[in-house]
Amino acid sequence: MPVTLLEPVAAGQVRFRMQGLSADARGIAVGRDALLAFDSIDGVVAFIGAYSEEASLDALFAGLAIERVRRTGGGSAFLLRAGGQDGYGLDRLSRLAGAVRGRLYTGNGTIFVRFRDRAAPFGYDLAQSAGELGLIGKSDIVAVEPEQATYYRTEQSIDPVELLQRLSVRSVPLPPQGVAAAAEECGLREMVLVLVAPGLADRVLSYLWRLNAPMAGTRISIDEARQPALLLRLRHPSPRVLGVLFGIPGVELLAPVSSRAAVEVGWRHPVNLAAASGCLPGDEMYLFRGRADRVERLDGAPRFVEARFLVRSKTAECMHTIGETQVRSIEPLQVELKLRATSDRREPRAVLVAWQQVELLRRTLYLMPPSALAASRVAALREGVLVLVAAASQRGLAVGDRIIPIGRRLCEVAPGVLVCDGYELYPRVSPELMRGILGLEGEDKALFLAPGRTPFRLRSAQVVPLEAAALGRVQLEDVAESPDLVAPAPSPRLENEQLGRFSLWGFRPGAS
Amino acid sequence: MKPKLEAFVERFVLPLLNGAAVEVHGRPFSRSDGAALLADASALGSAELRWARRDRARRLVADPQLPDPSAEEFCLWLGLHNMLLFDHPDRGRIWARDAKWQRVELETRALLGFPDSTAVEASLVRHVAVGRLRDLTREDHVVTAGNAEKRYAGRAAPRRALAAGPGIRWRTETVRWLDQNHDPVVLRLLPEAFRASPLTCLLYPELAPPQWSPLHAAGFLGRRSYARAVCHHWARHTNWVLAGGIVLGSLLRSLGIWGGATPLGDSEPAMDSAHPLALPGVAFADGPEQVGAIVGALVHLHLLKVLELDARVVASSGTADGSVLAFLALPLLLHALEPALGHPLAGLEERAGGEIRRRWEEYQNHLSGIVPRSAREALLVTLVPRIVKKT
Repeated sequence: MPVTLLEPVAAGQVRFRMQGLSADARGIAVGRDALLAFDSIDGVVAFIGAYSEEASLDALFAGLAIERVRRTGGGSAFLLRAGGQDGYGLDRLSRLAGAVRGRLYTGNGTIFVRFRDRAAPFGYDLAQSAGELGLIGKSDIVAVEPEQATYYRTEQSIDPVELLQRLSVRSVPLPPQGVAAAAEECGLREMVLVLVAPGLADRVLSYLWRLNAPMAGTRISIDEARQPALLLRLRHPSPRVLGVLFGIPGVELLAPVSSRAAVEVGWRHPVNLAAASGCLPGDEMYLFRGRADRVERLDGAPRFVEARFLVRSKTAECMHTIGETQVRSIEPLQVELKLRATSDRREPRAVLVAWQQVELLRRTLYLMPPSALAASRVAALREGVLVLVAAASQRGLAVGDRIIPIGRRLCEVAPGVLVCDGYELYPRVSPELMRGILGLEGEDKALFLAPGRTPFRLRSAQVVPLEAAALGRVQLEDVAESPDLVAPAPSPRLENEQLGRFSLWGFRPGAS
Repeated sequence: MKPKLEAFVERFVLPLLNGAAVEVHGRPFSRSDGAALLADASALGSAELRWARRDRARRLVADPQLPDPSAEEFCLWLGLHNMLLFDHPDRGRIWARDAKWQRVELETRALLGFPDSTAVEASLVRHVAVGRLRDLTREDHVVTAGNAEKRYAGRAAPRRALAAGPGIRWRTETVRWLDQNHDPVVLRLLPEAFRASPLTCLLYPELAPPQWSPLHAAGFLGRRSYARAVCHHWARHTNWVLAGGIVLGSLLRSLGIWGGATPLGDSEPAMDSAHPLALPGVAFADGPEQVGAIVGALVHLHLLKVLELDARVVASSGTADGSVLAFLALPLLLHALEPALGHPLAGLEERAGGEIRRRWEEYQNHLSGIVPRSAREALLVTLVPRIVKKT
């Protein structure tokens, strides 16, 4: 007769035999961790793929561990362990796992019981304590079903992010009307990345240049080739360009699926990568190539250069000596660049904190989130401390005057040109021209602190990261071992020695 | 040959404190045996024993002040040894009549029966000993043959059992001693052991015997270091709401606010409900200071869970019990308790404490949706006047 290992949890039940189980807001028994069991790696991939279509993988991957395990009775399996204290999240995991022939359990790290189903809407609890059921000490992980328990031993741990990168892309049928006519369906309407083999780079560039296609490019080293390949970024590509490029051997069209990944047209990654942008490590960008069956990892977001600098020009042949021309002075046209008040609001990009308020700034540093602190830079001026903060659009944060609510705010009217808040530069010349007029190079800044005052030039070497400038040097001392340390003590263990038959002989009760 | 007292300390007391193999063998001890052993009490003054006791006490507070090992503490060790002996699987082999075993049980009860004490240091010593019962484990050898199974509790299986046939399998299981099935005598003695240590009952209220009151350990909550240790210990409970409910329910019952007919449900302590045969008759102070210390600690427990961002989820479960509801109602009584207990957020700087205040107010709003108005008003007219005296 089979032994009943689990029993359904009753409505309102708050005490459980299994340690680690607790009732959530709906009264459902949930544990600290969730365990998903699959028979093969295909099930794991299918589950992650299905999950990515519904929700972001960032939260799932934060506490996810994949293990290849060996069943005690024989055979192997794959286990996914994730945080599982949210009953609604577990319902989603249960539904998706069931769809791909997986099973969901909840538990405390070692012992897991089956999650709720139709027979037990509030979940399951052990019928007796784990020790009485003999579930302790047999293996690393025990998954308990109502009438049987499965024991697993861990053989190998699999990094989920590495698994994501190693998955091969799958071929998908192209639209019947072709790529050129179905750019929207292929995800190429706004932008397309074109990977061109080294031997074709100049010809493809010349062709696109003649068509006046809006593009930028960079060269990347892939496939251990001697010459770098060309990676082009085309915005709003025309159907004609797509049709021509798609048919050229050695030219691959890649559709960006997120800011960190692009997949070749005609192929599809098993996981929706748009849902996994945050969990990919570092700043690398990944190009998933289908025909080559490779994943190219770029060290960062590619820095594209305008195509006019990439095209091989024939300027040298066309150069000729400039003759003497009668040029008259344009001095009568020159006007002064000056500040004037404006009601337009701009996002503050810097604050100038007077030296009298430096103590307040120092206290504010303790309240700044780490990302804002890392993105801020500082320069010491005669007028005060200038704190340059990152734009909200760059860091995804609300920074600026909300983080540092003191000092005089400065706004950016052109790249590197900061004027005091409430003012703008007049006349309104283009930002590029303004940088040229002011003679700014690289990361240099021009500061207009007040109307009527001479603007300053702030060189990039004078700016240091805020977190490095704010922290004093800490002298570390060597750790001295102390005998008074409270080390974790093991639990005492009871050992019953054999008793003699005459142990009670001579026993005299009572006080002496 | 070593003296008996030294052997007992080495083979039973030190392993229990330090976490090694505790050997239970030989004969039980009586009070006269204890007096005979203490004739040469030099082993009680050993540095190793003092270090082990201090090490255990430092798990709770950083700088415990422990008195020297005394005869009373030694009797407690003997009583614990006898109690473990009653669970010995070989007890049936001993040639003795039932009357003799009853005398052993009475002796053990006498060894464990301490007068209640309000001295914090003396109670801490008892917790050092009794608290280890909760950590005590046992390695069982289980021999199986087909569907049959035999368990050798805390001992190795004999060779003849392993060599009985080709289908014999065996395995070892490490189990917690307290969770296992016990001899009926042990079930009668366990409440006595826990009653001897009020601090253990305060830290693990689910183990407390019937008729236990947190007023027995109110002295601990009057000291800042112990109060902090107790509150953080409660906060580590998986079901801290239930622990708080048991403490408050026991307090209300001991104050006479709740009669015996009050339904307690799951918050009844899990120990066997056998009444003690003899209760040390000491009346405990139940003045505003003692009651206020317990209620203040329970309010602080709420605050700790709010700071851990763990309060909202847990507090929404298990609210059908009267004790739990009373515990959840405490933060809602702060306006009435504040003249005597103060406010938990008092002293926080305005800027730094703004976020905490906001979470605390959200938590109070959350609780007001859970706790019925009648429960709050009942506590306002019964519990609050015991703490806040009208001027």
